[in-house]
Amino acid sequence: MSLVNQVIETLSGESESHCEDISDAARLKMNSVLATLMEAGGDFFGATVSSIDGIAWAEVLMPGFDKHRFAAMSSSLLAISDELASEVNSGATNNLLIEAASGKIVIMHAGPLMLLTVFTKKDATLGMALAHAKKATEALEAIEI
Amino acid sequence: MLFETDKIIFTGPVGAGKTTALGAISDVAPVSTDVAATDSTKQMKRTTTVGFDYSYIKLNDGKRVHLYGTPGQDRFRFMWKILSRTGIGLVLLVPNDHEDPVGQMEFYLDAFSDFIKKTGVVIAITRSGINDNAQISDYQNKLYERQQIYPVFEVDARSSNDVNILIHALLAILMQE
Repeated sequence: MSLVNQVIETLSGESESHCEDISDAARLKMNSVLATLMEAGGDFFGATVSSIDGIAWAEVLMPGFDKHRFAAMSSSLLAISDELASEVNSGATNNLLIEAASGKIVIMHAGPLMLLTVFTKKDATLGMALAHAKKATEALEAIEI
Repeated sequence: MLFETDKIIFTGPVGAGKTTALGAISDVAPVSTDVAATDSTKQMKRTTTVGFDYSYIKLNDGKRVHLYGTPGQDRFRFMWKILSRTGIGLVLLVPNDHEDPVGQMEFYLDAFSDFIKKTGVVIAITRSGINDNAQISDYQNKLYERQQIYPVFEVDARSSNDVNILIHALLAILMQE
C-alpha cells in the first residue's frame, strides 16, 4: 500500500469503503475506458469498475447513485454466480444479466481482480450492450493496477 | 420447534473465522464465495467472502439446519440484511486479536439488533492465545453494562466440536423462547 493510501486510510478512520488501493494512472485509464463505453451507443446510462472484492475504483454515474454500494453488490452477485456455475461444472461467469422492469444490468469479470457493471436504458439492445461491455472489459484487463 | 427451512447466521468482523467455522462443521463441502482481497483485509489474509458461505448440518433427529456465513466488511451490510431475513438465530464470532475486540462485538450486536431481538445470539471469541486484547470477562462486563444477557464462549473456529457446541447452545436458547 502506498504511503498516500495509508495516510488516507488513517485519516478517514473508515478504511473499507475508502481504501482505493490503485494508482491515479490506473484510475484515469479506467475512467477513459468507461467514457469510451458510454459513447459507444449501447444505450448505457452508467457504469462502474470495482475490485473483485467490492471496492469502487472508477465510475460514470448520475448524481445520487452510490458507487460503493454498487461495487459491493456487484462483487457479491458475481461471486455467487461463479459459484453456481462451478457447481454444475460450467466454469466462470462470462456475464451476469439482470433484466429489470426498466433497464438491464450486466456484470462481467475484467481480469482476475476487476469487474465491470453496466446499466442500460429500458430499450437497450442486449446484444449491443453485451458486445460493448465485453470490449470494455478487454480494455480494462490491459490496465496495470 | 425446528423446521427444514431454518437457518443460522454466522457473522463477525473480517478474519474472525466465519468461513473456517462453517467448513469445520459442514456435512458437505460448503458453498464459498471467497475472492482475492484488495482492501486492507489483504494484510490479514489472501481472500475474503463477498457473497456468503453456505452449508448445513444434520441434527441427531435427522433435521437439517442451514448455516450461512456473512461477509465481514461493513460495505456488505446489504448481505447481512438479505441473509438474516429468514434466519432463526445468530452466531457472532469475535477475533480476540482484533485491536478492539469488545468494540467489534458491540458493533455487530448493534448492526444485527433487530434480528437479535426477534431471535437470539451466542457470542464466540475466536483466535485466543495469539495476541489477546481482551479477557472473557471484558466481553461479559460490556454485555452487563448494555443490559444484555448472552452466552460468551471461547472457541477454536477450526474445531467442529467447538462450533457444534455453539450451534447447540444457540438452539437451546431458541427453544426456551
